[in-house]
Amino acid sequence: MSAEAETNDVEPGAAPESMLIISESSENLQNMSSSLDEIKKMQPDNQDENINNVDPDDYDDISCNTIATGDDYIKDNDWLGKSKHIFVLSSAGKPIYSRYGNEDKFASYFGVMQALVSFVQADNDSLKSIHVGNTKFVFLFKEPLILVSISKTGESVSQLTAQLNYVFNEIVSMLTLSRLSQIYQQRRNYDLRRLLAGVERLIDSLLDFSDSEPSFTLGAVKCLPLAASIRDTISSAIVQSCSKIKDLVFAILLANNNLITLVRMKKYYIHPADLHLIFNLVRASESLKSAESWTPLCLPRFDSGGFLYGHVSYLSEDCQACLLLLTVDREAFFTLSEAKQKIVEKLRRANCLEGINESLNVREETCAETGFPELRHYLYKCKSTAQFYQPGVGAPYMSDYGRLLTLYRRAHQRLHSTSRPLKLLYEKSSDEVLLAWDTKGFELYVVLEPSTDKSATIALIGKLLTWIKKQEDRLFHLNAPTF
Amino acid sequence: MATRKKVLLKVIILGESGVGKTSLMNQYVNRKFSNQYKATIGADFLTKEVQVDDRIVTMQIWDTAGQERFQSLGVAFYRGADCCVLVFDVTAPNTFKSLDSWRDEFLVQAAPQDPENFPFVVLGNKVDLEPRAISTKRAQQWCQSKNNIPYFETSAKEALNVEQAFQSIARNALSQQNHTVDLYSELPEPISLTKTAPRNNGDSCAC
Amino acid sequence: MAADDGIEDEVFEDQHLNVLTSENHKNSTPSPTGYRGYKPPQEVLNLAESDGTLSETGQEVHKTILLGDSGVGKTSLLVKFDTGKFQQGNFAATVGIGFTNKVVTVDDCKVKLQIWDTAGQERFRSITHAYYRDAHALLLLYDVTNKTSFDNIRAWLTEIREYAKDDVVIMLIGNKCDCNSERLIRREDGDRLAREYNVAFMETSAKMGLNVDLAFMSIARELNYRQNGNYDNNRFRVQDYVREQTYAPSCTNCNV
Repeated sequence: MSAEAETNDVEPGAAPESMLIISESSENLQNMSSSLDEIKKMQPDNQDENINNVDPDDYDDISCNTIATGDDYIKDNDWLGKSKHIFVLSSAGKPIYSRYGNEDKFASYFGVMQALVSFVQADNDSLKSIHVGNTKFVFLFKEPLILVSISKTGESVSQLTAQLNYVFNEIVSMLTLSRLSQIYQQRRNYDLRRLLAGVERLIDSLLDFSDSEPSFTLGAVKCLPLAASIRDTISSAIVQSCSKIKDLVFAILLANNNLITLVRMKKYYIHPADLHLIFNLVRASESLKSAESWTPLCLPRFDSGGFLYGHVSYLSEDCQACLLLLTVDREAFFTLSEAKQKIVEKLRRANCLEGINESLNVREETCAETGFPELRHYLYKCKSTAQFYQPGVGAPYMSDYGRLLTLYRRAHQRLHSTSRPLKLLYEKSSDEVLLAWDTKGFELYVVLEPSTDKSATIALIGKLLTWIKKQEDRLFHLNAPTF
Repeated sequence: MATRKKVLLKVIILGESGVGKTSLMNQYVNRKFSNQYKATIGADFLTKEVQVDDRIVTMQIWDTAGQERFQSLGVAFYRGADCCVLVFDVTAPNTFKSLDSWRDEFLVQAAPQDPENFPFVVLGNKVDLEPRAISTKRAQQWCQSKNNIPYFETSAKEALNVEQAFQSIARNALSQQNHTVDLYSELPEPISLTKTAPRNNGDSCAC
Repeated sequence: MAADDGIEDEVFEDQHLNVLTSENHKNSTPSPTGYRGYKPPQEVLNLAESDGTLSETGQEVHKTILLGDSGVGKTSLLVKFDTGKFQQGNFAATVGIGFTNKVVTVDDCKVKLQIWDTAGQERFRSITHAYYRDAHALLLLYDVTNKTSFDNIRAWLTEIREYAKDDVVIMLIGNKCDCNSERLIRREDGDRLAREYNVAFMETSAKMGLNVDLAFMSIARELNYRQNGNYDNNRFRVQDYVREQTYAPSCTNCNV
């Protein structure tokens, strides 16, 4: 429960134990001394943007012309106009995936990409990125694959690399890393598209998902807001129905890309990056709605060497929350199918299905509706539980959420820059005031009316944290239930 | 089964500088081949679709630079090739003599599963020129001695045999593909929980 | 889930086949989206209370697997049979194996079909192999507009021989037979292949509902027939039954 968390004033959503592996070491949590004083000492940061563009591994002497060598896409303005291309190829240079267009048609470019990587590698170096104007070419070589992002989105090299890592993990989640390596050990000329039929769709979805959501950037998941009593009832229904099932590792209930609950086997944790892959699988697979499904699934951060087996089903036609029961026992389908029926029945009797539906049907309140008119939007991430919350999107970002995300990504990059990380970022422009604050316990990104001055901002943030604290047991999953 | 994608073949073209590799490519794709990357990174690339019987295959052709300074890239370039095309100039004996070393180097660098049966094709180019230094018979003998490598005499200039040679290249590479073992017949090992070390905090990478 | 577009609801066999839905069949549950006051039908509650799996009522559950290349319409065929709806457009590929229970009535007997809808992709092959062994019946699909999917049928049949029981009921199905303009595989090609392998054959259209129920009902009838001890080793009764019952479209392409 949240009793322990009550003792901490400035880290809403913190819990004594997390169901998620957190992205950063939690060793310092005890020494946490985040305080509003940090904000009071803040200096407006006018340093210009070029932090993002400095990369020690730049290879300036390679010029990458875009002259046609034999395909039609290069003349296709639609194709050329895409703000971010993603390519995956084998280390032999064979095409595996292209976000846009048929990868067959520009096989020669895949050759160029492989050659560039190899050319730099021959000097015992590694090619990370090439910068041409406002376009970044980012390379990630993860044996046996090469992943390339060509982006005009303004995202930093490390953010683009992180996205490529997700793409790699998506492929691993379908095949396992051991199988992937084994395939290329046996046949270096293997055409991986054979085994990845249908996975293009998952990668497409993953890219759209991560481009349109802050959760990937934050390395955190958002929970479906629910009264703590309902969430606890759901968790215990799962625990009761599954406690006798051997080898069940995780039970995950999610709806609309929000986590409802996660029950885990003692000692085992799930990484947010693995959870994002699971969200993506559910998001991209309409067919899961038509039947109970049983599928192998590798969670790369959990164990890249093997498959878990997942019983995946929606709770019922009248409650579109998706339940995944992940086990290491490949014969467990019927056991889990039975457990699922019991869970649904318990939830139905306890009116939890209604509770979930109500939350799903309610639009999240905007800051103004919550009583913070000067506050336009914010992201709050609790580090110790790897969960985040964002309010509903109000004016002026309703039709341009993308711009808001770009602001957040840029701020996130400034806080996490490897060369010069900031604790605090305060930017005032004619459009808005942006404040980003990284403490030991949380990260907060706030966008305010441009007229808000510094002292008002500080006061508002204090109030906001208090509000989140009050709401924490509804907005966050504070328990870490186990079987 | 269930392969909707066209087969994609990686084809490497090797041979001494000046034997006409690039001209062959030009001829083959009916267009000026730009050669834009060769001087910088040691290879140039071309995509071409070919029909072999009832199948359409995509050839990803790697035209490599013959210079010394790119030799170190061998491993990376040759890795995962489906076919290797060795080109010499029938009027220049040294280019024929070096075929052995090109072939050997390829086999060393690419380290294919089954080097004995790896598909090569040999092209004797510039047959339109005189005087001829390497007879058809001599070239054929060499090819036979190397486990019957198919041999074509071509003229990039006069478009002689170029199409046929590349057909044969595609067919040979494809035959190799068909031997693909069923990599997926066995069920992969499930995770053994006792072996998976429980992980908690301290996993410091956020990506 | 793709909404029923309402265009295709001519289900040819529905009028004379008495298709019962299983008790926990989703379609039998109206979907008032779970607001307050919603009560699930009594049988749903009963089922959950008795902890009941279908097999408890004493009848054998017949395991039926849908096989074939990805994209041939296995899920569409099943969804059409199960719900009467056709998933228009680019329906997402099956993930692993999908399970659907369905109770049908044939010859005045209730027959319980447990239908396993498999993903056609190669990477799932090893997973689905494990399920061949237990199968009583296999519906093997190709797409009449996709030659590769037809060419692969021989390989599928070889796999079936290797992994499935010898007496498994096999039905070869050429799906998407409504797409006449794109048709690449003639009806007689499918028929000839089926005869060669001594399996039943029909063409279906999940989109138009053509022969969809017949495909599953024939399987159910055959399984029921065998269960009652009428199984004759030497011939596939289902083949004759199918020939008698198949609705042959009047278009020339299908009848060649």
